[in-house]
Amino acid sequence: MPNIMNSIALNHFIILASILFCIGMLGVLIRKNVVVMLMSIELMLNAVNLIFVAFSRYYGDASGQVIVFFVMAIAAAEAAIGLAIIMAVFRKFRGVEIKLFENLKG
Amino acid sequence: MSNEIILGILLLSPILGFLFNGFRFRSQNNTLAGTVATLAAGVSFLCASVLFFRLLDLPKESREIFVSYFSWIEIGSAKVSASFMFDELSAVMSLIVTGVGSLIHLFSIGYMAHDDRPSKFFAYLNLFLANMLLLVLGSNLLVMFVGWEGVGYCSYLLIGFWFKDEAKAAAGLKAFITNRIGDAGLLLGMFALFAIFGTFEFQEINARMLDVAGIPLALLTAGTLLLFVGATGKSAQLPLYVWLPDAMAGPTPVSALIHAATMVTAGVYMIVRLNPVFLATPATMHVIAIIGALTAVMAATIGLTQWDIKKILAYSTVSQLGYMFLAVGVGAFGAAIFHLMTHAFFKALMFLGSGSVIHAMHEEQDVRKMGGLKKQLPITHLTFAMGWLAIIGTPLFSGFFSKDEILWMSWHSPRGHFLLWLAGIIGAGFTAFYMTRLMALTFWGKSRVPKETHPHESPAVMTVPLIVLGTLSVIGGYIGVPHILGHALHIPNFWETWFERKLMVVPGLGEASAFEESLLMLISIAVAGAAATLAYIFYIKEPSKPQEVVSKIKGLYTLVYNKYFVDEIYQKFVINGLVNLSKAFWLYMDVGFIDKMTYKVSDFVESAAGGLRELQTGNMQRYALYIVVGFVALVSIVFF
Amino acid sequence: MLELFPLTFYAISAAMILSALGVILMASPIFSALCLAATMTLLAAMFFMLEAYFVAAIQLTVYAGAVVVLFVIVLMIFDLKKEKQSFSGNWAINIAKIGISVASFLILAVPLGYVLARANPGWLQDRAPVSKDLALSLFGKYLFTFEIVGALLLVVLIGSVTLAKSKGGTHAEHHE
Repeated sequence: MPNIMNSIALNHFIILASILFCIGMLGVLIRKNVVVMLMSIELMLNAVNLIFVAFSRYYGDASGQVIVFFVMAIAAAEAAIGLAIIMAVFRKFRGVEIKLFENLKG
Repeated sequence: MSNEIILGILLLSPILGFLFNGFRFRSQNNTLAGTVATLAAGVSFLCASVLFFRLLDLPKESREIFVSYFSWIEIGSAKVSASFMFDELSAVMSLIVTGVGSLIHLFSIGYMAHDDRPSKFFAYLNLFLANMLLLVLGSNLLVMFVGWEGVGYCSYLLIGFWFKDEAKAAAGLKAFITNRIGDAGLLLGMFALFAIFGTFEFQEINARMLDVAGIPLALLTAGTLLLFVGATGKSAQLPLYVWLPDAMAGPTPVSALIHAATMVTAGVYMIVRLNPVFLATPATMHVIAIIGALTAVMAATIGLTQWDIKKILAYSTVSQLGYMFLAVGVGAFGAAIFHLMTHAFFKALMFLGSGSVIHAMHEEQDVRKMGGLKKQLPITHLTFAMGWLAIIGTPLFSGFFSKDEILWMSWHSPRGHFLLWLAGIIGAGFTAFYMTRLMALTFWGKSRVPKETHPHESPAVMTVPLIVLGTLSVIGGYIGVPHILGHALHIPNFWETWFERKLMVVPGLGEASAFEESLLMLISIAVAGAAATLAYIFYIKEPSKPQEVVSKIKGLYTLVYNKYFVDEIYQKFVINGLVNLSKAFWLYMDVGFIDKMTYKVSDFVESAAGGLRELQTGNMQRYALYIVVGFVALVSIVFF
Repeated sequence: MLELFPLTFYAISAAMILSALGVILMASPIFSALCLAATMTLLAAMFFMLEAYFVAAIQLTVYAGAVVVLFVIVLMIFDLKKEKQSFSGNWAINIAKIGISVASFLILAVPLGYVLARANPGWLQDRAPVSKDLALSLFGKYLFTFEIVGALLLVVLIGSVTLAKSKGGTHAEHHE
């Protein structure tokens, strides 16, 4: 490998992860379709994973990767449950727009 | 037994009677209730007598029994204790109160025999007695005030005793409210005195007054004037006398006890008790004398025209109280108390006598329906006549000595004036006229009694008090025989020597000229005699005469008959004004402003809540947005 | 010493950002899912660059291989028509949302980036964590959490099966 100037540092990863996180958040706020909202949430979780791995490499500590492990497991579980709920809701409402779930309005 | 115990029994005995009858107020056993009450009063009289004799044993310079039971109020340096003083003045007062009181209690046993709530009546009577004793025996202004208010309260209860009749209940209320107005002045006066002297104790105040230097005269004058306002309320003088004629709605023994012998004299007592203070404020004394004289004459004129036997006596009481205040105003404190005592005898006697008449006439009180009752009610007539002779000032009767002393002092005292004496003489003339009129219309002449009523003499329980009081009306004056007569008969003026220590003499009082005094005495005898004779002529010899005179002075007669429309004037200008003011306050301030403010607050909360409610759209994305916004805001605040 | 070629990094990150934008902006949900898969894969590449090989492998397996597939299956079941408008709310509120996101990005990136820019720009440790370290940590320090997550997965399994079953249908058939 040619020895190019090593200029990629931790803060690059932080900025990248922040961008991904904010894009995910924007998706949650902006989209009408519930499934796409869930996908955006997955995006946010992935951004967090990136941060953890980057820090884990920075400190040389395996704990960061272990946490990523757990986050992944839980994110997958949550996606499964979320989709199951959406399935149940879809059966009732015949659609998955967020607008349909306004029963709790004040 | 020690003095503390006897004094304690004196004060507690009527309270025990009150409790006994109070708890059994539904009982209809008149004899038991009355006996217990009379015994309670009698025990108090006994104790007062014992203490009086003990007083006689004491040397003249320290003739007082002072008992302090407990410390009542302690605020900083102001200390007031529940203490009582039995000295020359309070001895006389308490003997009068308990003595005449006991007789009236005895009379009531007969009078209230057919009432359905006798126990309640006797309970109230005893309570009144207890409070009156507090008033006269208290050694400081505050204890006196407790008694003052207490007798006012009992007066209200007793006047409105037959409260199911609305007019009677209203009369009770009128008495209490008018009293209260006076009491406002009394309280302010007490505060003024406290501000000057730093104490409420009579002895300390009077001792301080021996050296007048350093006392702010303006404040003292204001204080005594305010105290006098309180006295006008309690003792029914101008302008707060309007409750006393209405108070005749109560049972007659009440009128006798409270509104003749005891409660109404409280104002006189208070001023006499504080006589050094009043002597130092001549301005106030002038006011007192003038109001006393005016009241005496005015009430006497109204008494000329009334047809209700009790109303005549009521106005007579107001008039005689005017004489007492006239005496106080010119500095004749001893004479005022003397007249207080003789008036208690003969006025209570006449009220009880009228009670006997009313009882015999089956509750009829209009003298136009009476007449010739001396045949059917001999004892009542005889005793009543004794009272009549006393009040008009017949020589040798008690009223003669006391009233004459007042008239003499209103002329002779440096604080007196010829006009004051003249008003007194005119009042005396009117008094003689209307009392003789009363006698003539009730007891003498032809009988106008309707056939159905069979008047009969009252039972012994009612006539015995009448006889006792009648005797006192005759002989009661001999303890205060003026010098000019006493020299001849070798009767010293006991009254004067008894009170020497306690009553200060008006500064500048010169020697009494025997000639002047005799002359004035003769004038008053002549005026009284002439007026009585005139009344006799008018009502017995030529019954048509009064009607002739009235028709000639129709306007004046209407004015006087309607009590100078004082009640109506008060209603129109004072009461209506106050009521309208209150209504305006209620409408504009309470409803219009305060209520509106509370509604505005609640409306505001409601609308604000409504606004906030809009945030809950149910739109989950909106909620997520809120979360993000909150997060951004928080972190910005923390970091930047 | 970790040597990260800047070019590689910038290329992969650019692609990642583009596909992330694709997730949230694509009109059709299926395309969103595809973009999500791309993002996941690129993220795995990033993990490879950081010498976190195990995590990268799991990333590819679990995320790109299972989660995204799950999304796609569900979307295919729904068989939605193309939406007329894929964004909720009016344009004004959307601008506000974009603004807020930018603001939050700044909040996240600026303090941390600023702080760390002053720190040692290099990587602190020479040696990257290896699977062995990961295993020791996972079954050592984080054993309890591991077991709990296992229990959680069991609950999720039961829950999702219960939720996704056609409850209404079975009950209605019984009542009929």
